[in-house]
Amino acid sequence: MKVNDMKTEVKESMAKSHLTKILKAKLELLRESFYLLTRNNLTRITLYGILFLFLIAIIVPIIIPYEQIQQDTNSLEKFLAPSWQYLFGTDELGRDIFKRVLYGTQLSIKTALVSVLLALLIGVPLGAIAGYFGGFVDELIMRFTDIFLSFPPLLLAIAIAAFLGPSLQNAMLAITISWWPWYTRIVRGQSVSIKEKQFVRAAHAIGTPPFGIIRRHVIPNSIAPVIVQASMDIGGAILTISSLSFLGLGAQPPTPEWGLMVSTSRIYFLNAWWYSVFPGLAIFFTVMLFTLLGDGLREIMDPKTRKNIG
Amino acid sequence: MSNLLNYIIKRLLLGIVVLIGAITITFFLSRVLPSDPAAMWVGPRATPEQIAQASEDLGLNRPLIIQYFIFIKNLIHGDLGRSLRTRQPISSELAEYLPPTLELVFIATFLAIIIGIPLGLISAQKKDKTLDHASRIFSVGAVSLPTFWIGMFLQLIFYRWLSFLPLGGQLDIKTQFYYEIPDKTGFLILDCLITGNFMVLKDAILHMILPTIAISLYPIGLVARMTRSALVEILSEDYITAARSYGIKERVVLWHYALKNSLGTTMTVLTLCIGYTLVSTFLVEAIFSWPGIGMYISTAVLTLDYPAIIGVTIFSAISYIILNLVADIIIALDPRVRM
Amino acid sequence: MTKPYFKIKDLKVNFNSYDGKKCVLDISDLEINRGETYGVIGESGSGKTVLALCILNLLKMPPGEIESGEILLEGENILNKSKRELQKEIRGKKISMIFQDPMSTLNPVMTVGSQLECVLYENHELEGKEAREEALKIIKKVKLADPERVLKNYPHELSGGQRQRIIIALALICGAQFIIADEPTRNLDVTIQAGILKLIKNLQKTMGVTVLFISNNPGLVSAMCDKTAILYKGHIVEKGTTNEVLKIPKHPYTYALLNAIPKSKDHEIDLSEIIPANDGITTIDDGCIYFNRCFNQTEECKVKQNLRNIGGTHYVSCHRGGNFND
Repeated sequence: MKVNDMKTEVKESMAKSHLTKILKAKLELLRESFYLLTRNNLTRITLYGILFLFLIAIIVPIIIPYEQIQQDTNSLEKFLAPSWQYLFGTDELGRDIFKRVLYGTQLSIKTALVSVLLALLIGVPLGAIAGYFGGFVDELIMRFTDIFLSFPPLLLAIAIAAFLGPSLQNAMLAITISWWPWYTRIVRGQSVSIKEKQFVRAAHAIGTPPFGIIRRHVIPNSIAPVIVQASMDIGGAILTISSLSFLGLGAQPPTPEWGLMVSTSRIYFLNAWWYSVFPGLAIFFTVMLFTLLGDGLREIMDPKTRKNIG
Repeated sequence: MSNLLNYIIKRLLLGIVVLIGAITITFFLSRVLPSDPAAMWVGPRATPEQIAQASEDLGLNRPLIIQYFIFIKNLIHGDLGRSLRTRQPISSELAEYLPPTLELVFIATFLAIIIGIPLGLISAQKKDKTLDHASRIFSVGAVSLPTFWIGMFLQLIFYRWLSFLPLGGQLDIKTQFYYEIPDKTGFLILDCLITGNFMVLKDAILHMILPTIAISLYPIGLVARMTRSALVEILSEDYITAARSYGIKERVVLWHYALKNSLGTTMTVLTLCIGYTLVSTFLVEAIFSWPGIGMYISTAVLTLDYPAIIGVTIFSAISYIILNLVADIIIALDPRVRM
Repeated sequence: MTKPYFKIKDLKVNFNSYDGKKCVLDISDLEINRGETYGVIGESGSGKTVLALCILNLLKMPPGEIESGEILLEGENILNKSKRELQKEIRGKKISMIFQDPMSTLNPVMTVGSQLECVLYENHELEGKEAREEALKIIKKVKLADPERVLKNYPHELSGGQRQRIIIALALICGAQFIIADEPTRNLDVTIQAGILKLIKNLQKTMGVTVLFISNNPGLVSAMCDKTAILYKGHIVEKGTTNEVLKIPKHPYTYALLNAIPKSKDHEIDLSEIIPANDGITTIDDGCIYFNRCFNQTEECKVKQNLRNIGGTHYVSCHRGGNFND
């Protein structure tokens, strides 16, 4: 009896110290990452920029309910140039472009996030499975991936969106379907080298089921380049969604989506420059921020940039 | 050497598998339509008998598998079907619209190489210094610009406000009226150079400037970024330090030692570029009324000309697969790959 | 007094990380005469490679930072030189380096021959046929079998021992009179090690070069070097002729290090004396660098120990001067 009590006591105290060690390690990692991120001026500005964006995305829908955007039409105030009253001017229905651009922020970010997340949910596990099991499963999954990757980027999205019917949801689906293969490829490449590592073999030796290994060892260790790619892809997704909307395959009027606004402005913009310039700039800056974020993340995650000198 | 041959054969087989897969996906995509293709073919005022007849003609009554094989058989013969809008065979329309697009794609890729690679190289060498920061901001900006928008923006500045460059099209109406337009290869610039027709050439070049800028920015930025990141990694390798220790000039280290190691990345980036540029034309050509595939497909999308969309998709996919095949073979020339 | 051929004076090198600034090298005085083979022994993390790279100014300068000091070659401070001057005058011309890991220090996409020819072109302005002949000569000199084939091979097609000989060939072909050998046999099997060392010694005799031999193996150093210095956490704790330092060690660390090598089956090693230097425990500021591990600590150890002469050319940074009680 006593021995058992002692055993559990020891186990508990070991577990606790193990836990604190893990927490300490994670905190250490965070501290180091934060230091590296903020040391670079560029990444610091990027962080602030992204925070600003999210702030807009969260606050704007609260302040400006959607109905106000929809029923904002005022035929007396069509095509007004930018002024203090209408910061970005008005469009062909007299709507305030500034409000619409702001509203578009959360629309773009949300749709981009969802598309990328879904693509991750499909792509990452597939890649881990392919890399870990190898052999026939690997071949099968990778050939399947190759087929999807054989289409030039954007082309498949256009085809899918065209055939499923133009809508914002279908555009998101189109992105997910055309993008998951990239993540599969990245994760598979990582998994192949991770599965040879000692700790994975150890886990296998003590009888951890394969999916447990994948879930607890393979995926967490291969996630770094995926995170970098995914952050940049959020920007890419915003570009793609606005491109699809531009072609008429994504958001439909009167949704205040940036690409759609640029598309609608095509007929008028030579005389109403503000109509195309501001939504376009919005896309530009947002995408740029996410791209810079991806860059900054890559610099932190890359072990080489933290290399010792001796 | 036999190693190389093995690799090429394996790669070719893979290419064929992928090709079949891509075609299959496109085929099933085309059958996903909510509406009846036969009805669309005949038009809104057709009688039921006409629709039934069209169904028969288009082979829509046969089982799906048979349709699939007919589809493939037609593809092998180069038959991509007929456009709903123009009723013309899609393959001949593509042949007609391809050269202007290829002009843009070639020039964009060319610019991407001669501007992007040196930019990335110098950026990597002078890492974290002012030149690096400036070039990175430029390339990040270049890849973040919405292609469709930058075209419009350029038109705004150079046509509307500066009146410096034309709005769109390949040539002015006046030029088309007064001069004979050479048509030997279908590539306007090339034809002008061959026939020595410099008036038309000048006009053609003027018209080409804006679309080219709009299409090239993304590839230039992309190539610069990827070259820079590949080179930063290479330059941190020990063999570069070793080369420097032997007293080898920095210029040689960069352009000889380092660049040689980046062949793989460069090829990959280039293929990506060409693929991306091809699809960017879909966004840009309509704005500039450039008579290429891009305009063809954006019109097709607007008019819901599904056969045309399928046709262009298949064509682009096949070209892209071949392109990747060639790139992979070139990469295999790197001795390490065949280890 | 004549100027020494090579001298390091008050060199302080730091490494900046999120943890703050860490001093990785602090060498107050190191002198090498022309024609000497000078050994530096240290464990992993003691700063050996930092020292080697520092001389040619090849350290990565963000994280790394040379705070102060001089490195004098024939009386001239080479730390002051610009990268361009370094490339033109020093690297390869006056000083060259044999690297530790031949796999990572050979360019994987160039043949051995072209790598040699590049160096030949840079340092001796040889091209074409002449360059190829010279390359062949040096390959033969490092005793590689089938020299013609080796020249056409890529690094990954050669074995470890062959690659190491290529690295040596590359360093030698520069024609420099001062060679830094950074653990040149670390990754090799013991039998190949012997061959390489014989080669270096032979070449040194016939070509009269000065060698800075860096290693973690006292046995190798005792076989190869005239003089030795012991490096601990970036500081030299003992230096003198090889005989002095390795036969009659006067610093507790040297003593512990040498005793870690089992001399025979019955030789017991007291592990408590050999706590590795790199476990992150910080030392006391301004005290002896070896304080926390020394088995001979006294109050006087809490003051920074400098190298002091205890006879002839033998220096120790310990106030005890070698009188241990054990």
